[in-house]
Amino acid sequence: MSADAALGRHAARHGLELPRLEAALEWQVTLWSGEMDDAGHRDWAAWLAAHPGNQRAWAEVERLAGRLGELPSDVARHTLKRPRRFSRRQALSLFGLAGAGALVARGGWVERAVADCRSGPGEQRDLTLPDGSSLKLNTASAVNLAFDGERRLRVLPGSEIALDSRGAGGASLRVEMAEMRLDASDSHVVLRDHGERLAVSVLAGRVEVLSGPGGIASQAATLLGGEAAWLSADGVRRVPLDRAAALDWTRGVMRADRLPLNAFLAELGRYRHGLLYCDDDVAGLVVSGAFPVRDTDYALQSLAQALPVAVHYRTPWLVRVSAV
Amino acid sequence: MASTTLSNTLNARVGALYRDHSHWLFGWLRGRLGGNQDDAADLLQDTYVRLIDAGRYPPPGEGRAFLTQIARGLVIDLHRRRRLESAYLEALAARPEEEAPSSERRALVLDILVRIDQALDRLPDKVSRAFLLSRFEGLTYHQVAERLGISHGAVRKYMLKATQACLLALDE
Repeated sequence: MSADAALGRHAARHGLELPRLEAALEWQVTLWSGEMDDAGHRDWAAWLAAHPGNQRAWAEVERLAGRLGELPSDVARHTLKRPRRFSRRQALSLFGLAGAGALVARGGWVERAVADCRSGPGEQRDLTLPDGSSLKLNTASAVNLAFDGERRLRVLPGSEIALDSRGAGGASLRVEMAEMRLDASDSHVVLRDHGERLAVSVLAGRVEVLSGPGGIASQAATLLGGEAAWLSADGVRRVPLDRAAALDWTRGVMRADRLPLNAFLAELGRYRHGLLYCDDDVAGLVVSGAFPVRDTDYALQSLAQALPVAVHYRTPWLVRVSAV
Repeated sequence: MASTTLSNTLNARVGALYRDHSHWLFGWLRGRLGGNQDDAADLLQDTYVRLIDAGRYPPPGEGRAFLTQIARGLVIDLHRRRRLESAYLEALAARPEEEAPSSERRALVLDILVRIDQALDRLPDKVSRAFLLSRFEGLTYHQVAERLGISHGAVRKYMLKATQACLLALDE
């Protein structure tokens, strides 16, 4: 799709034939396997010799791979680290029983652990549903799927997802979240369960609020593309949609716009294991900025540069922010 | 002659966007950069340079949203560059002094790091991890498969995807 289109453009710009460039990439990947035998090397040489176009495509892949080779391994290892993953068992043993109890008590954790699709703290997932819809899970989120004849998706407590069902067919796509039921067929929508209320941002298409508790029942509503709303037992409260803000997390960014420090840490803490908290005397400091959610330690570091605060790591799982 | 007239019109539009929004945008950037005036001033400049480079101008009334969108991308890039730069310097500090690279060499490596980091960010986690394990930890595909708990075929598929993304990102 878009990656292939980029490859096509690259081929065109450098006067290469796309199938030969694709083949050259395949060969590069084979050569990098560390498992190629003599017969493999002979096949590769034969492919190269077969056509001048193959040699040109190979020269281009070699040129780019050469730039990658400029990176010393130790530097790449140190700088390009991806978010660290911890197994649940590791996290639990570190928390001890009290920690596990707290997690279960916070609601839905056990359920989350056995859900069809889930992401742990600091993880994000990109999934394709059986009907072709795209589902992105933000940190610590979980979804159960029922796609047998009907299309149903249950979002577990505390989750945040982006669901793009455009072009996946017109039949109803039922989303259940807390006690609410929505129809999100043929739409692009971001949903977050804040506990007491749900945030719904409709980026494209339309979303029908079918049923829910209290005030919702009496004002079953339609939200159109470009609209956002809070849903709670009190009903539907429409708010302006900030399209970029709704999608920030899908780009690995957390944006704070004049957020009190304690609220900021609560938000950033979603992307980490353990507990992140601050002293009361700094809780009201105002935080603004864009922070990478894949590297919350870096986010904390830049926080300490911008505000008169110090960050104390008791352990990676217990982090306190205090006045300097 | 026609092209002169056209570029005058474009200059006038950039001028108007600068006059109407630069002050506001400077405040916006400063807010997002923890109050740092120097960074805010640099990115303000870069925002307008990007605007001119792109050659596309916002419809009337949407100037602010348009500029903010460019500026937001620049803020994210700056954070990425700073993070990578400090990690790079840390890695260098662990080496003997006589191996210290020249400043040109450092700039080149940082540029490659930024491009690769950006490309890996757009890939699913397992794809980028497979790539890093193969390219920088020296693992064979069988070892990568074992480490990530996936099949050998999946490693090949991920490697193809990541290789394509990373190599394209390294094109000038």
